Amino acid sequence: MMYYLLLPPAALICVVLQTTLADMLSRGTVRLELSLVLVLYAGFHLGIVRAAALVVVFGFVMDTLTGTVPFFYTLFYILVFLAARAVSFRVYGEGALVIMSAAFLCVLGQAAVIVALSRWIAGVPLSFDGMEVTVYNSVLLALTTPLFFALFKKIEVAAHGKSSL
Amino acid sequence: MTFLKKHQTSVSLFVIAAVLATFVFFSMPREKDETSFLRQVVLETASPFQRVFTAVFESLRNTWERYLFLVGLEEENRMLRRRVSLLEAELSRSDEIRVEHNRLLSLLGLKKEVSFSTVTARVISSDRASLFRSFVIDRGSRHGVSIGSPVLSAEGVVGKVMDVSWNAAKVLLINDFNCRIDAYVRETRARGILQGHRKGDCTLKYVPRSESVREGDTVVTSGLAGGFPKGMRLGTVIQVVRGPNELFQDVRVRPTANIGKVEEVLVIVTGMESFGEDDRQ
Repeated sequence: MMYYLLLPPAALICVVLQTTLADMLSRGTVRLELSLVLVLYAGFHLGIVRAAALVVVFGFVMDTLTGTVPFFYTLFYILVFLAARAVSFRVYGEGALVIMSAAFLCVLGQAAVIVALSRWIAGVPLSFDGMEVTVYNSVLLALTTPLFFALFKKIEVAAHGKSSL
Repeated sequence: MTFLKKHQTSVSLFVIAAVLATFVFFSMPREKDETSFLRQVVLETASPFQRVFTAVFESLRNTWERYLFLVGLEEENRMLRRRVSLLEAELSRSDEIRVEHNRLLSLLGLKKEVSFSTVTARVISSDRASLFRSFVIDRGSRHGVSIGSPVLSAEGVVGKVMDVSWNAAKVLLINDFNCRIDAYVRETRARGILQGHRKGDCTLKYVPRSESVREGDTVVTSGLAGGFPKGMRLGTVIQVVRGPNELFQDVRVRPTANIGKVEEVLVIVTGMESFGEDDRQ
């Protein structure tokens, strides 16, 4: 029960911190989407109900604070979660290469969906101009994801006495 | 338990659908121009954290910049930049008034002076590296801000309010692909819709091929839709492409306002009965 009570404020602080900190330190050049790493972690390791709550709450907070297309983050996070869950049945979700690849593909996939949406919703010509930042971000997130996974696991163990692995 | 394990994917889909449906139900606004209660709560709860984090990180950065590198110079530079911005805004307004005055003189018309109520707001959170362009300001419905309120800086239009809570609001920036503003080219009066593009620029859409638009021309608000006052500077034309078989030309516009570095903005408000006089301009 405590998990569900703490989830909304934790999501709020996490999203505010990730946007403010990244923006201040990098002056808008780098973005470390910690919420996406959490969604991946939920997809690979958490139980269905807990993971679903986490995914929806984080997606909703992201939509409210930074998104400009209604429910974009919520729906994208759900897709990422389902994909991670499907993959976790077949491969060992603890391997660094697997989670790094997943994070890398997720950031690129997110950018591709936004570019496609801008074409279909707003009629902006389909092009990948100025997408270098996305590539840097995907590499950065891929490199740091194993560290965050280890951190989340430690937090989970500290909170419940055991990991869900 | 066996059933759950056997149908794990279907069960997870069902659980997500149920949670999502609940969220969608509570996060949909009851009226068209209204932010849902759930969104208002999130925006409102986040704003103190955003204020604190921004203040802490900004003060750390300022300390570094001020005392270790450019003591005095930085302050003077900031003051001069502010002054240049104000003078540019004044010059832009004068230009617009002169052009309009000449045109109206020939029609023996008179320009009716329009005044607006504005509130000053501070940017408390922005995510410049995101592909979505928005930021959060520290003024909300309690201060007269409503959905669609125009947001300006000294250099020109920055965007418009897309979500509002009691003491905070989310601003959709003019270089987001979701933002559309009715505009025209000041020099030639060619009209179009200004829409965000990638790389921080905008596109002036639906400008007929026959219209003369040149690089360096100024794009301003038309004042016809969206609550924006007429003649506010939106940007400068940086590229014009006329395809051989196209009905419209492709006009690329760079926003006048340095959107990535905006710290304070003006919000044009209506219905400010509950707001103090001291913050009105």
